[in-house]
Amino acid sequence: MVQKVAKRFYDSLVAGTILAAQCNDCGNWTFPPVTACRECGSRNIEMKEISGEGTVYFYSTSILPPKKFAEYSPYAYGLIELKEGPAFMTMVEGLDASTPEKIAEGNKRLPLPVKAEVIERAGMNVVCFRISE
Amino acid sequence: METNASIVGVGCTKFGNVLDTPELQDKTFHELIAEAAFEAMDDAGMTGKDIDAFYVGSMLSHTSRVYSHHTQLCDWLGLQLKPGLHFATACSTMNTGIGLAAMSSLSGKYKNVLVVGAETLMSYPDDNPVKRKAVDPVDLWYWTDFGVDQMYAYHHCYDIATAYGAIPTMGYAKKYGLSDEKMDEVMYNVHKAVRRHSSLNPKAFVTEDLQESARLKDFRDPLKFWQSHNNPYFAYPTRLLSALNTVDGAAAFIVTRPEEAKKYHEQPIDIVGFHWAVSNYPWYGKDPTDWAIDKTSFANAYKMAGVTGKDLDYLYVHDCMQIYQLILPEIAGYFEEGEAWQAAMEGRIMFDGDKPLNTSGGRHGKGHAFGASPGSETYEIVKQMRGEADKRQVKKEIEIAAQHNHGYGMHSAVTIFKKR
Repeated sequence: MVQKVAKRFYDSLVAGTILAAQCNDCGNWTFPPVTACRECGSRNIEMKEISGEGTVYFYSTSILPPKKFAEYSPYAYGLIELKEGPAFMTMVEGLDASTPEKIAEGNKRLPLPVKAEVIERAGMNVVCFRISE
Repeated sequence: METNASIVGVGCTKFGNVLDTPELQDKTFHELIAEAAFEAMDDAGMTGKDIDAFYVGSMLSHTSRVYSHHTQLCDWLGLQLKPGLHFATACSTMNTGIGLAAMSSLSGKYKNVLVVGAETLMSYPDDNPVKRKAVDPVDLWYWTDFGVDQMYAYHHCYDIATAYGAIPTMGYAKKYGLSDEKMDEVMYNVHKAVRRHSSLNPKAFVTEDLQESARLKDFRDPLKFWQSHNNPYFAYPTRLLSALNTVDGAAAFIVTRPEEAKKYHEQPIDIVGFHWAVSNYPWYGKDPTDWAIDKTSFANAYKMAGVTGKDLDYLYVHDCMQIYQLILPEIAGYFEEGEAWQAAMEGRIMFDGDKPLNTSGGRHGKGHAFGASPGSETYEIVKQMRGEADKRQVKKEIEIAAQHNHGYGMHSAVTIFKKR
């Protein structure tokens, strides 16, 4: 029987715990967690808390965000690689996305270390990252 | 190189908006499909009786207001009681259809297969099949985004223009040490090619070239127009003109067995390789130009065809964001790494250059009709290979061509064509 993965992930965020799936066969991490290892396809996976450490490589913001996130616009949407390996994209706190000039300047400072945190966006708990310098 | 199947007929409508484009005005989803399909049947000298199976490709049911496309369309196409189905891989749909049809034909079960696709994105029938209501772009993208990871990515502040346009553009500039200003000039040159091609294509959505757009806004220098408030950043450094235009339109092609192809068309275009690969979002890591799905689909399609990127005389790549006109031809081996931006600056990617690319105008100039657009690109490739592309005819002989498409979320489809 397939274990509930998505509900467990989102429920854990309430307590500030961010889960990924680590593969017991190949050792790779899948984030966010799904029902198999994204690297080797094995179902022999285990939900574990991630370190929350990562690096942000690029960010920008769009003049046409989805309506769900329009109230936060302009927000920095960045490409992050977790210490555990997987790439993820989400909101990054601590980067200026207010104007094209600020985005250009901000990207010149990257890559920078980031730390994951749980934040409420559009009525849901989600994972975002904050510049950790 | 073994021929697996052959294309013997192609069709394509004008791309635009059924609310106000004269050639399309008041036409329904069903009629767009019929127009493209009948052009393809006429091109192959076939009637419905000759078609053994038909596959209808379309992505967005929210605007077509259609499910079970095959049952609703069979009589409109003269294909009652024929085997039919609906299929989709989002914006690569009809490219995927080439492989599906080739496999059907090759198996011997269905010899002649019609693949037809349509998308109506600018309006929808408002509980009345002949009364349409314009679509709000925010709603259009809300429905479209059902095609990207809905478990996690979408709800994590998803931003398509940044993920698809801005970050790959910054990644490309960083990889080759191009300043922001230089990269903007490169993208201007890519767009100049897009607009030159679409202005020479009567079936394109944007028929005005960049020079003309600039002149209409009182700019003598199109580069100054490009850099002006008329062309704001969609997501820095990607400007609005580097992005797609959503449109309505339909396309079709007919695939048959290679040994019978000459019966239907004097110049069959052979399908010699294809492959698909998929990945969930995001499809890249810290190097946002390193796309494993596309490396996989190109490598396997080339292997099947027994060719390499160096053998291509012509390439059409997915360009919902025009930065892909630089990244994908390098992945395809059509250009060496770091060569594509220089080629764009030198005009080599234009139809009269030595490395022609996307000569019908791509997803901005021709227009982006999601699932139907790959069919319009196949139409362009076939026309170019036959020497029927009129004012934008590629000057050199095209023996081998490749078509690449992305389907939202992310699907990569590559097909290799060969002229006999």
